[in-house]
Amino acid sequence: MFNEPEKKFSIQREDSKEERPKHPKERIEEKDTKELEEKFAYLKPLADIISGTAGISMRLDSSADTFYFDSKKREIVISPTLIEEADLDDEEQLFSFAHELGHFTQALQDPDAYLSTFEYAKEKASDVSNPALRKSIQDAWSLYFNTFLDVHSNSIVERRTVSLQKTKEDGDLPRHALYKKLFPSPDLTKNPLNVQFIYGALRKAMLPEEDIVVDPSVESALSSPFSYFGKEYASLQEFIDKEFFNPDVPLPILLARMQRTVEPIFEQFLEKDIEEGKQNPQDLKPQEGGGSGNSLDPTDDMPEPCHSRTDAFKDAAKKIKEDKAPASEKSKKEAKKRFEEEQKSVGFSESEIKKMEQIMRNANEIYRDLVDLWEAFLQVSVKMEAVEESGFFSGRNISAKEITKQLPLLLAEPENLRAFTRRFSQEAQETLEPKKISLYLVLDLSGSMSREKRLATQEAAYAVGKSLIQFRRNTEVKQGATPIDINLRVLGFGDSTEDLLPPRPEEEKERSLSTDAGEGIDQRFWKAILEIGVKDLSGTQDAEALEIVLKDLNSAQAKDSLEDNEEIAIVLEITDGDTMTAMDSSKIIKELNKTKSVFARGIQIPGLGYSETPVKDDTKEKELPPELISPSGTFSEVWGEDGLRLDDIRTLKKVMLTLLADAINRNKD
Amino acid sequence: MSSSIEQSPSFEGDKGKKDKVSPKERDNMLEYWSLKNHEAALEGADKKLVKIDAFQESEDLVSRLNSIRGFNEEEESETEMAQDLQKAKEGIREIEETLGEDTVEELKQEGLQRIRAFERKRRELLKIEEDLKQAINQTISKIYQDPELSESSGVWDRINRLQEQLASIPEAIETLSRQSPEAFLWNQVKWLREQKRLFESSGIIETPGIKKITGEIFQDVRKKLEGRNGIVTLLGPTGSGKTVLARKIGEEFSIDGEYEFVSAHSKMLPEDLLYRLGIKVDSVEAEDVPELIKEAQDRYEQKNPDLDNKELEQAKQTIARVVQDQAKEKAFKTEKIEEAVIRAASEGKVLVIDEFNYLPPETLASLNNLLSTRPGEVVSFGDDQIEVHEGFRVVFTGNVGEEYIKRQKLDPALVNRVLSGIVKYEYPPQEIDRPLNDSVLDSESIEAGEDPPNRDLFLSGLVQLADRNGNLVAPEDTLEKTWDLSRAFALIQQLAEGKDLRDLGIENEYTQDVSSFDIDTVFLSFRDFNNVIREWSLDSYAKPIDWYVYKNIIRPASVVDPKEAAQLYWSFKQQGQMFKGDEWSDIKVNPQTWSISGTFKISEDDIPSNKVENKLFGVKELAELASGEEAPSVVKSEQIADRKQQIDSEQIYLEMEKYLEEMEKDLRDESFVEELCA
Repeated sequence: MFNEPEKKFSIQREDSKEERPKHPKERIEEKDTKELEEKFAYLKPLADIISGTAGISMRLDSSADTFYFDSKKREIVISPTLIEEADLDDEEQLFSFAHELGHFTQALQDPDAYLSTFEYAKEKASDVSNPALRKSIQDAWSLYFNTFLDVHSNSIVERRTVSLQKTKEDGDLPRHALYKKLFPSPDLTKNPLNVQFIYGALRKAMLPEEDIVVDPSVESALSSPFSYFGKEYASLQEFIDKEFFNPDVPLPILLARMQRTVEPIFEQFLEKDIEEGKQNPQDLKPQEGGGSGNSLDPTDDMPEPCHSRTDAFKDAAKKIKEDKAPASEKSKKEAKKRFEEEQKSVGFSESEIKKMEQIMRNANEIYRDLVDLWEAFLQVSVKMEAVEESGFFSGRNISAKEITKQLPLLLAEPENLRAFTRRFSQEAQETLEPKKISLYLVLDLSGSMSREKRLATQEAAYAVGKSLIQFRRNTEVKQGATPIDINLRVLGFGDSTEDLLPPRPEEEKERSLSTDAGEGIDQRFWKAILEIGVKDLSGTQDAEALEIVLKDLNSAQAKDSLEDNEEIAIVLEITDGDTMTAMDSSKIIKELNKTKSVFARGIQIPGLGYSETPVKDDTKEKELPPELISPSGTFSEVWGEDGLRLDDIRTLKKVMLTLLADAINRNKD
Repeated sequence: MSSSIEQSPSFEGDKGKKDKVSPKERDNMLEYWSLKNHEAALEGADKKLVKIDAFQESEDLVSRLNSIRGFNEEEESETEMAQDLQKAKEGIREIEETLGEDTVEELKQEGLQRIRAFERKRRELLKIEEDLKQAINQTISKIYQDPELSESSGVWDRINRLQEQLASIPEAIETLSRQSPEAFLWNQVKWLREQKRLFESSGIIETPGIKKITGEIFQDVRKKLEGRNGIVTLLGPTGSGKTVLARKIGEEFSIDGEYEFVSAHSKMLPEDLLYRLGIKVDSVEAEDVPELIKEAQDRYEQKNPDLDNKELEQAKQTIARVVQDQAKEKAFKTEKIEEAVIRAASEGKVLVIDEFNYLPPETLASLNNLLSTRPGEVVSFGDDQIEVHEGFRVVFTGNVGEEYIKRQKLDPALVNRVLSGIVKYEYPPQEIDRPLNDSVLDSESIEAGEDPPNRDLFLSGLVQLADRNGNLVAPEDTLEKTWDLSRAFALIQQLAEGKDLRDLGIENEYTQDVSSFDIDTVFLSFRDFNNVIREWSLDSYAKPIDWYVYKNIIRPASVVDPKEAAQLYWSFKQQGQMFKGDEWSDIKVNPQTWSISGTFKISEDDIPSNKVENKLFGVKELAELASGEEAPSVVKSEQIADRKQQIDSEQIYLEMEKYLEEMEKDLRDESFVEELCA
């Protein structure tokens, strides 16, 4: 936005005899906004030239307050009242309008860099405790960025707009005329030093023919010889003229240059101003007779749209940034929104939804691998059958039926007769083995399970359970394939045992989980996962839970299907301690592992939680060597070779993956 | 390569009247060229239109209609074309005023000089390309005729080097074009115009990506086919243009451009490829009957010289009657008919077997014998023997992987032969994730050797949308939408090939619920893409592009295979950012089950018409979007290098600063330090 010192600070206005320019809002009432819309309609093509990027257009809209970027329609919407400035002629208005578009171009070039200027100003002021002073400092920094971005924006504008390169009758470019109006006096000494410095540089860059009057310290800063990255410039001003007023300089580079050249100087002046109380808002009330005190809050008497323009640009840059995002990022955002709405509608609280998202995010690294792994359990065999079909030019036998059917052809053009039969072999049916996968998660919910351990358990349980559900859905989707049956149980143990995913009666009877839409399995599964995080069942007794598993696998139906290779069952226990029911547990585990097609495994997670050695990020590698240490105490007695102890709970998901992979290999053997 | 290209006159190097042209003026001139191009197109079209009598007549009819309806003709708004022309003229005038007509003329001449200089070199390079190609091909033919040469690896090294040189010519032209903005624009517009004409005459668009792929394949194919009875196995996804390519190969490698083409299917038997027994009718034509009677009578007379005249006369009458009777009857007999494979082998032609993977293994196996026979040798099929002629080559095309071929229970020798001929063919390369406004590289990145995102599908859309002069007047978001469509198409093609979201790098935790993709009925080919674009533009963009995608793809698919329709809709919505308006809210897709509903609730009337205003896409904009490269700067190349170096060092410095800052910040953070020390 333009920085219009003469208009912004009432204290200076008091010195001049001119009337304070009318507030744009006031002007709106005076002029028919529709009329303005028509008047400025010709500016529309300008937006294409300035922004120069495909697919972003401009719309003049008299109902708009100021301007903004409409990301849905990909339009820059501008209120015509912004362009209409009372004392500007057509070219100058054009320039001022194009100038705003120039800022859009900057934001389009690099929205991140553009947004960083706002953050930077805020950060610079953040150490100051006095809120009024803090705001004043933040504003000073905003002004600093605005001023030098103005210089750059003007260079873009002038390069890209032909009519702004045309000199007027008096030999001035529109830029000259405009800046003469914005800065009527070359004397800037009434401003604090930091403002003298940036405005001095701006005025000189825009009106190179005219001299400026500033404090000697500012004068010296701007006119001393200057060198930058091995290049010599006659003065800092020359550097600004060449390297800031230059449309070929990308925005991030401009900002970096500013940081290393003008920023330290500006900061020095600003500090001096603060020291001398010139930046202190308390002292800044306009004084009678217009003494030395100077209003330094640039927002004080600033025309209203200037406030909102800052926000509008910030907002626009944010939207532009979103607009430049890859499609997958946009989709992710929408999917996130949809997910949150859906979960909310089925009764999950906001904090629960947050937790779910955290679990999903953390589980994602192994999720697809797990889906693939489930698939690897399956062996597809295809049965072929021989069929004989008729209706061919040539072939094995002649079909009497075809001859009768094609009798007229036989008499008229027998060479086109299609009466032969052929034999083919074709796929009769696809069979899957096994037909069912059972997964029993036996999870430690004792009091010693810390928050971290529970989260790791939640992620592991979610990943393995959800991937199984998804795997079943994939088999359902696959054309012509018979979907696989899944039986998923989640049991929590402590002093007692709790069924976290209680099967419905028909599910229990069939030992099969329905994943159809409307069955609410996703919701039920999420409930189970969330409970892992909060349910405290105090002690550590896993025998009861294991007993439930054994009972389920000992049913007549299960026994048959396991024996016939129609089912494979995985039992996975995650615990952090030593069970108090070692004897019973050990017996059950032995029995489970003796049963054909059943794989029971235990993972012990350590007491400390984190290992001292950082976890290797080997997500890209398929080989996942877990950081394992020897199982200890009772756990090792109970589980023997089928138990693993982790060095670090962060490896839990990967270890689980390895365990499953091992089960597949054994199953195939 | 670029270093060896002669420099065309650069801006500053010109010894014109003006010592130095400012970047500002140069930018204006680019705009000027763009407007001039547009003006020429509009005026040309207008002149042609006016020449059509029927058009004049219809204009008169409309004015009569309006006078009857009581409309004042003068109030009628100008046609869009006239408005556009007016705008172009205004723009031209403005530039002429600002720069002064003399300067414009001077700059124009300079620009033209640069274009001419570039065009001369471009043509030279194209000529070299053509000649070099021919020379290489002839050399290869000769080499194959001399076994001593063809077995020497050094010879092939040299041929490969020549071929590399040949392949680098298009890039050399690109590099040359980057020496001035005018040459860059000219080169891009020229390409657009050439492609437009090619597309109008043949329906083919040769985008750089396709050209590169095809060029490489032809090189590969030549090595496999030239000089011997070789095999090429062209593997690639359905709808990628394999068949067209196979036909091209057939044409190029057959002596007189004639080749045999077999469209394979799953019920083909060996006899369909080799010989088949057809039923033939043996009948006697009326005019031949007297001759036949006479022949039979003469033979009878010779056999029975002792008969007297009366007996002979009686016998002759009987013979005549029998022959006559027989001639009335049609007789059937079986006859062996040569099929495509035998014809190709015995006549020395190329044989194309399209989608060979559909052939039953035993049918494929029946070719083994033939494929292992050298030219001049004889091969038997049962009782039949044929001599295989020089020039017999086989091109298989298929939509399978190598694994498939290995799995077939075939003679290992045959498998080896088919495998050794494999040449892979892919869909035209197209970016699937980045948006259009992030798809054009700036000059610095190009200098640094970065490649712009692939855009071949998008280019084929662009070629169709632009007019023959390389102009485009269309709603402002047209290219954006075309890009989105290209992205979604490319995604679906990859998914249909069996890739998943993870392979494509676009999965996240919210896609965990998305079931696997299984698309094998509704293939989206190049042709489908072109149809959507074509219908949309012929309709003057009356509706948003979503409607044409729905009408041409989603709705038919939802009849043929709803599950696949659901997958397509989801992909268009996610990656193509389509179907976002309320008018589409009736269509519901469940990505867990790939079910879709509501597709028939949509009618054309529900779709609001496209409200986006038309704009003239400048030549510069089109050229940049087509190439993915920012138009070259007007600044001298040394200056660019200088600036780049400065910016690079600034960048490194900046990154170091940032890094140090972060370190400092981390060290201020107590918990971080604690963790570090622990």
